[in-house]
Amino acid sequence: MRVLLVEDDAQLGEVVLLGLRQEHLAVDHATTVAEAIELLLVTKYDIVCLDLGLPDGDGLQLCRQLRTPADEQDVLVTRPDRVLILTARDDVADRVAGLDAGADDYLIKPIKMAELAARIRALSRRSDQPAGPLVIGDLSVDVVAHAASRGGRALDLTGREFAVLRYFALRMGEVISSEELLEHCWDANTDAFSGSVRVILSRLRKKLGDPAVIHTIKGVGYRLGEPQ
Amino acid sequence: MRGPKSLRRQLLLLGFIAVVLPVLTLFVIVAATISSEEISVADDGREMVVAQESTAIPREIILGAVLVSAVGCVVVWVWAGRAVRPMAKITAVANEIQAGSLDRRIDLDGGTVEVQALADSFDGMLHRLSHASTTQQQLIEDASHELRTPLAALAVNNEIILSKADPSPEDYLESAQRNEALIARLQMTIDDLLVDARDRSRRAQQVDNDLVEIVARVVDQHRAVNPAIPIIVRGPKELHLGIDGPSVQRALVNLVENAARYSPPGVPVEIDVVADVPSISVTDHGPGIASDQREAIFDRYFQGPDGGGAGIGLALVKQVAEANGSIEVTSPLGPDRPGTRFTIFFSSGQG
Repeated sequence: MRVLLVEDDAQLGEVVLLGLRQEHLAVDHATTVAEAIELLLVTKYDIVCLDLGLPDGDGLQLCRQLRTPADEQDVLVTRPDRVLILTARDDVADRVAGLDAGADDYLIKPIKMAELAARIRALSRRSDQPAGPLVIGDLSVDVVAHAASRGGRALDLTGREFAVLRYFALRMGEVISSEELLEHCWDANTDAFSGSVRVILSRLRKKLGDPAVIHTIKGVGYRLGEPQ
Repeated sequence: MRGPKSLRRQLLLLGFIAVVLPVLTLFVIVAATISSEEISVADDGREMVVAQESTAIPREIILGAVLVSAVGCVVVWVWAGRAVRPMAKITAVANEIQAGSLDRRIDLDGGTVEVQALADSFDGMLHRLSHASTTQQQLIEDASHELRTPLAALAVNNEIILSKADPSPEDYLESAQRNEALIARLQMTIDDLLVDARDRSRRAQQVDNDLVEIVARVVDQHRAVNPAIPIIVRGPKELHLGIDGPSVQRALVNLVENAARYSPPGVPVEIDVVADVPSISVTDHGPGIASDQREAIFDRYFQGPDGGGAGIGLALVKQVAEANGSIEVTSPLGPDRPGTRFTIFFSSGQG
């Protein structure tokens, strides 16, 4: 999952960023509206966590822009799947205004990381997915405990491997290209090269064991599904 | 024991003496004249008849006198009431203010000169109190924001290290270093607030201080925290001025920090101490201040384009500068010379 954190306070932003990375999320940090737009031009984020009081503009305005159809936008930003407003403004009217501007959720500062992580999990869960671990055949992916097991045997995965497996599990049955994996499981700061996707995938496949659950669709990408 | 004197009653007494008493005196004189005529008539030998007539006239006079007194009393009482009514208005406003709102004004119009002056100076005082109270309120709001953000960051930092699966010693070290930076920020905000509060309660404590020594302390402090931005200091070996040392030091720390924040990496911040016109200036070679923001930078809670820094920093600098003299901002430094110079001029002579 790729997350954009827009928070004007550098120090608060830094610790929240670390907390989100600890959740094996690929996170980028912007401190201004301008920086956020720059990042949104090139990357399609799964979730944008948006502070409202920004030095060069109003977060609410940015939120509306993120929800505007592409053909009506002045500056063509990619539309993230979800927007979570993160702010100290706690009036009911503010919350209503935030949600009506297109936000999917609203979290009032001071935040607890545990709650922010849970809300991000909730926002990334599709309506047809269970609240507990995601199960594919004998493979089980626990997005809360950051653990996976196959046939009852716990898998020893690194953070990145888990992030990739979770992305597959949340999009069970979908064909995912290596570019998409790179965009959603690696953040702007990590030294990502196209080869790293293949490296991580081959390691992940090895750890998942046989029969294979990650299938290669030639020329298109990869798909997580029941062993064939 | 007598109770407190009522102004209205005193006016009534004065009015009575001034208006009713002369009329009564007139009546008495008239009455006396008539009775003396009656005595002269009595000499003719028909004294009984005349005497009877003469006793009838004073009775009407007495009746008239009583009537005049009564009407006079009422008129004077009403008049005295009108005279003290503005006082009642002032009292009413004062009582309302006890109930908590400083927005009320007497707004007296058309009172006597003395009462008008009283009401006007009362309004003036209310205005000043209201302004002070608003500033204080603003300070509390700013302070709570300034304190809350680093505190929230500390809480999150603590939460993430505690929830990390198997933290390594390096993780703990990094976490502690982040804590240290956040604690320093909290400390700085609290220092600012204390200087601010102190300055509010009494104007600067201006005693003999060596400005050069203060600068040296600030530079040492800066080097420990932010060695990436060097500082060049120019000026005399010492300069003793009648200034409030701790406040000036605090202001200087804020100015240097501000300059360092906007300086390109490695480009020094310059501090110039001038003895002839006792002053100190802090110069950076950053992007400078947009002309429409030159006044706003001193507002509490104003944050620069990078969004960093405590919003009360430069507001405090201005407050300290004005308590000790004045402040001037130059930005850009000249044509094609970007950068910003803050100069504090000290009005007190050399110590």
